[in-house]
Amino acid sequence: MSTAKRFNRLELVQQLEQLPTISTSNSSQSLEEHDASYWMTSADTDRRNGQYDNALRHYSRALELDRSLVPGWLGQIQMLILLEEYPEAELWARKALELFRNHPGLLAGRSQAFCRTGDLRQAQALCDVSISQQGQTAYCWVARGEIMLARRDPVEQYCFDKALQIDADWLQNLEIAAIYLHYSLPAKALIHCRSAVEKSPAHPYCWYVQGSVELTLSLTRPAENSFRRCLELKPNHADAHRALGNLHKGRGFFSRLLRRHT
Amino acid sequence: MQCASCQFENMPGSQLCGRCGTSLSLSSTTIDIHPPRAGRWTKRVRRLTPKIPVRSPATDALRNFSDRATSALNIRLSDSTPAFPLLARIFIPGWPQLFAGSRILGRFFLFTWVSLLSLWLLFFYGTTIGSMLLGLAFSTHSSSVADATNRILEPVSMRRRMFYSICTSALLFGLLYLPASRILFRYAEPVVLQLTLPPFQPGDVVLINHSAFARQLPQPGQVVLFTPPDYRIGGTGHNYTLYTGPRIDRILAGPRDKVRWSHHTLFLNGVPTLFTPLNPTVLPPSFECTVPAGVYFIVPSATPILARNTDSATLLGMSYIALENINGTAYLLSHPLYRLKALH
Repeated sequence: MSTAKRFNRLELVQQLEQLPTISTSNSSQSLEEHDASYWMTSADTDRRNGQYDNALRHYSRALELDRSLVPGWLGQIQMLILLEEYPEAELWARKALELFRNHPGLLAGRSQAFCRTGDLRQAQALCDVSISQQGQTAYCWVARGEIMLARRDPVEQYCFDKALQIDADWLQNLEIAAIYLHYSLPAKALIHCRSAVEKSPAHPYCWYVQGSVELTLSLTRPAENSFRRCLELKPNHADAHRALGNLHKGRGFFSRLLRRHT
Repeated sequence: MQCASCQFENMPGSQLCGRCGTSLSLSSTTIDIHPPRAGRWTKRVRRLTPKIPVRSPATDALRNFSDRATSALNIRLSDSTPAFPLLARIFIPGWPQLFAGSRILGRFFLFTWVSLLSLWLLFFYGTTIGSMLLGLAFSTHSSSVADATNRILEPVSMRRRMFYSICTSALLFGLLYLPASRILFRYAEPVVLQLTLPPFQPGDVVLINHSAFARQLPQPGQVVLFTPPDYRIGGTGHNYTLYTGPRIDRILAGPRDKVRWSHHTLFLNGVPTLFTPLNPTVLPPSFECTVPAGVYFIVPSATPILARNTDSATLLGMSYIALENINGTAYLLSHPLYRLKALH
């Protein structure tokens, strides 16, 4: 019996026949045909879903096609920071600044990387330069807010508000919340998470981040609601499934206490 | 040549954009566009290690090592940290530092202090090692307070810094540790036993509560620390036995109680009880007495060289203890830990 005849009886084959035929060579060819803007959009989508590794990869794909894309370089730096790879982010920002001197976004990225490594003096200097440049972006103010936060300066809220005035996208709120979380201020992070949810209630990642922050604050019931809402919007959200499972596992006093302080 | 960043038209042959300074050789040179990545373990190690800024060359780093080590611990210190909230937090080591943003230093102080105090209280309370641990805990707290004071007052010279440190240590001792130790010792004074006094062994630490009889009178059955009157037995000239010093034993009967010891059972006013001295082997086979008013009947059975053949009259003479000579209840044999036992 030939191989083809042997596998003809399997149901799998029938199912596969029902699916539209996708040629591997065609798909790889179509991927190559995508332009830089496609990869930038793809990276942005991944970023909005919290898939920072994928976003970083897609920013690199965009830069492969167009190396003059400053948002691509900036996106890479921001992804490295969000992935907690600060020395790498600083190195990459320095490299990008060699190509695009005094670009405010790249300066802000390097400043944020310095801030995360603990070098506040350098971070402050770079942030000052980035804000003094023409064409400042919301990210410059986010970086400045982070430096203020690291210095325990209460004007950080003003900087974040300024960033939100320039760009009121819900992603800004979520990334500000991530900064607050990095500095162990979940109560302030929750405010921005709620703003993000108000702005984009149909996006599952907002609900997931809000749930995570609520969990950090030991608000188990609201956290559970947020994770459930996230799963309603995206039923295969693995992180929300895991978080909800963990939530059901440890409901005792000590579980909550440990969760709060770990 | 048009700049890729700002679209400015530059002179041919220029390396950098005349307006924004962007490299004009972006399209001609090979540029790596894949960023370096940190490994999983590298990230873990980075999370655990403190963030020490290293900016200057190696020679400068060596020259300014101590300064930068200090700054590494104080990286989050803000110039605008208010003085009063910082001072209000000096009672818990590390709290001012955590408030000022120096998390590493704050956690170090807090963790060290809590560890030392826990070790002292749980395992070495009342012992020499315990005293050393307490001293180290006090030093840690004192360092934390001195650091907080230096942050507020910002002394320039080392002499002034030392002066502030000594003053803060003295104040900390006077205002916090001395009153706290007095309160603690009122409720749990450790008494270290030096001799083999059944049921105790040398090195045992027994905790005494001095405030036990502040509101209520001693009750039969309680184990107490008491000071019996000096008792001299027999001998002529210099050959006599003198029983002196505080003892730990059980109150067997109160004032005016009728006591009868027979067949290893104590009858109190004719009723059999389970009360026995801590070392019942020193008691005579039987005796009977009535406790006079104003005194308690406590047989000092945990007394060295109290021979078994001591006559009943002598033993009873040593056993009438006035209320003012009962110093407190002995409630716990706390050290060594494997002999931990409640005394009741």
